[in-house]
Amino acid sequence: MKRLALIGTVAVGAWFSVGAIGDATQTRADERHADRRTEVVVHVEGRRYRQPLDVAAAALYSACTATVDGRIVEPGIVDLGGGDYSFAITPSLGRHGRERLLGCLRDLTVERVRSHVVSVEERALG
Amino acid sequence: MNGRRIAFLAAVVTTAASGYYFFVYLTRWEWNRALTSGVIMLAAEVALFGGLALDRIGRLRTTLAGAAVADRPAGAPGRRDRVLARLEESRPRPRDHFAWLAPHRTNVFVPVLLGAGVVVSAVAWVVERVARATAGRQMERGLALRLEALAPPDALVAAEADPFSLFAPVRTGAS
Repeated sequence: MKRLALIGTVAVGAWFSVGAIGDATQTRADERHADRRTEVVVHVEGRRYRQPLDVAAAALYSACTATVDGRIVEPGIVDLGGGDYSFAITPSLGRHGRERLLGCLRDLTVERVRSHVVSVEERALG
Repeated sequence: MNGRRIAFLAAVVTTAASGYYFFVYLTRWEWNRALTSGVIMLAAEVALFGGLALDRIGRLRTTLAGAAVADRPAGAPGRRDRVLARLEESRPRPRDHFAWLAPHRTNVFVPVLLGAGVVVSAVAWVVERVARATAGRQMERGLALRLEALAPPDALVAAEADPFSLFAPVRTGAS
């Protein structure tokens, strides 16, 4: 009996663990607002990157924007100085889309480029 | 704490930490970092498993060696001695490459001996023939040169009385 209870506990724990990992790593439907935008500020550093940082920022955006739907808001990628760049996407990103995009931006996506997200804010479009 | 235990603990900690961060990076959608952590976890696992396997094999070897010594009665040959004796028993006999020359085996030796005799006789016959044809006159000249000193002076012996004529061989049938 005790053994059966142990097996049941382990099975239930495995079930919820697999579900939690699936929710965290799989693409889920998000609630998005077409009248809002998600503005991201990312800091970019080059390690023996032999092009200007503007190119690195553009490459990073190009690689990571494939993880979410939507379009970039004018004026596009803005150089804030000091290696910081901002861009905005509309419709606004939901929780899962935001995690995918920020994970890609934090990851070592572009060779010889390190980056980290400075801020993520949701604002009204316009 | 010896070095082996420290290495074991390091492998365990590395495996656990890299496995934890593997899932952390997966949930953060950082695939490159997750892949790196996964590779580190695999390497640590392989090292851990290899170390455990080698350690287990070493223990088994030690246990078997100890059991062999414990099972052996006092004065009895050891396991290695028994294996060596068995190998010596099964060793092939040394091959006698000249068995046909053995004294009790004449079926091969006699024909060879006869053949060698024929060949040697033929060679001797040829040598004798060549010597007879070439060395006769030369030997006689050398002998005359040496006997010349023994000849009496010409003043003591009449010219018609040649002492050497006594030694001349009588040729029968000569006319």
